[in-house]
Amino acid sequence: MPRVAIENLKLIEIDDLINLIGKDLEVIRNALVDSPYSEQILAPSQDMLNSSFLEAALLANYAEIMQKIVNVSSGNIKKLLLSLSKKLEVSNVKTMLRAVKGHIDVDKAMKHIVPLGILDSNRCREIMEAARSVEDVIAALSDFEYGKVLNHAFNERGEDLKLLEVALDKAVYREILKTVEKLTGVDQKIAYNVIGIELDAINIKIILKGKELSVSSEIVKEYLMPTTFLNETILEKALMATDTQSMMKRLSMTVEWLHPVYKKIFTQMLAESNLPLSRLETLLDKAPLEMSLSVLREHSRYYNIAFILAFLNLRWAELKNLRCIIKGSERKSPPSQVRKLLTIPDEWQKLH
Amino acid sequence: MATEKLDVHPTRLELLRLKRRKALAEGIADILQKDLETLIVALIEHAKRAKAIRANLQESLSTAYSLFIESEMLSGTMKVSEVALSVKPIDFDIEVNSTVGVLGIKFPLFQLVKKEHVSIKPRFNLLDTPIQLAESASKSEKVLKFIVSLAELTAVIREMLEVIALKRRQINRIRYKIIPQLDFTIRYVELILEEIERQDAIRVRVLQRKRKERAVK
Repeated sequence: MPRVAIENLKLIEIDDLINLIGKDLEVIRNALVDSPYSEQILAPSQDMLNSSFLEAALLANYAEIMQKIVNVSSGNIKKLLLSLSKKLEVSNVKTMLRAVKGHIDVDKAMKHIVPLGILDSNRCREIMEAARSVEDVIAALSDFEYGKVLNHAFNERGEDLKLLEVALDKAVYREILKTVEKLTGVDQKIAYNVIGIELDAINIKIILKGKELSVSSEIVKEYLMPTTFLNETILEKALMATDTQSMMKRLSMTVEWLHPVYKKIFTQMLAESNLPLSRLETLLDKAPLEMSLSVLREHSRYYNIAFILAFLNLRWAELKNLRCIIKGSERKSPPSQVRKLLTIPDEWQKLH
Repeated sequence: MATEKLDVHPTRLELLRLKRRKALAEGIADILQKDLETLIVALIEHAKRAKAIRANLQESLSTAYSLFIESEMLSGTMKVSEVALSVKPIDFDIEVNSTVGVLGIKFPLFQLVKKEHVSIKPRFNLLDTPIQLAESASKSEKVLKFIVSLAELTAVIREMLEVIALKRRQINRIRYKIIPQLDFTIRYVELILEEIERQDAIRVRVLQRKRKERAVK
């Protein structure tokens, strides 16, 4: 835990992050050179300085930090962190599936691979070079747990990439929930709160998107992840709601008895339910971060899993914010547009 | 510019024919001028419509582009490009027909035809992609309709411009070639006829003088 606390100190200050909005890519790169991302930014590369290069460096850094924390952990916490790192591993599997389906050049697709876990870069390259179809990728992954999940989904639903991806995500989240159950005491409670709100936010986002795109509720149900605090019955009722406002009203009443962060997020969402869905998505994206910070404040007297989960969520939010700023700078987007897409904790926003 | 004379016999009958042809040519020029004016009015209306569609197209495209950039900002360039390349493309075609427009001119009629039925399934993964990507894709689909309408309107305008140019050439030919030629020929025939009349008058006078001289002898 102390090592995580040290890593925590290396996070980029939000003020410094905000100052990077609208700056030239060279300026952002130089700023990142003086940050924990320096190793990946300064690594020799044939790529030009562009958003893809910086994004790959940020992801590589996140993977490395994740690996570092996994290595220094032990017991059930290590198991939880390993299952959390599978979210990145799964993104590599998804990249392989998409690359083969979209006939993307292997060298180009390799830039999208995050070096982490059992699926290392060489293995991914071998699979993509040999595969001619999605089926070939699934066959090549048969030694891994992902292969079995994909094979099952493929036999049930056919070659629909979206549903194959959903099957992978569901499997990873089920495993995460199983490892959370193995934790004990305060650690279990904290982890369940943080992972729970993440899953609930994902499910609400899926329902909102389904409603916005007029997707039938039966199809939306196929995309829903394993449930935690907001169970199937609650989600089913949300799906049946006629509009976003009535859905938010019902959900804000339901979350009354849950953690105060739920109430805060859903009250904000109800107040802004007439705004575009992208705004509600930003609020939901912020939920795991707010929960992490809240549990960290509640249990700050001694080291516990809240430190690790809050750090990982803060680091992930930082990565997303940097990615947003970098892309905005490359595309010369107005600073106001970039700013509204950033995931910033409420505390900082209240101070400014 | 030297005007060429028509190859006609300088007779009174021919003069009458020439005058009738001139009146007819002037009538045709007037009709063509009215057609031209109608076409120009229709062209201005079409140009206004094209301008409005172009403005809508530009607005929709910039919104779609802005949403696409937002989705790249949220999900990353790499993921968006992966998703874009692996998603099933929209299969569409353009049906070309024709319709009768102003002054009975045949105008092209373009219609966007989607080959697949409207799917109730989402195009992108609801879990993994931000709403901006789906919104950008749906805006881009709407943009296709504007592009097809604009292409149709452009083809109509081009057709109209061709007809206007043709009409203008016809009017110019009548006004600056055929009518001056007829005028010149009429003048020529009139001059010849006047000359013949003068010669006849002199001949008559000479004959009268000779008849008088013969009578005096």
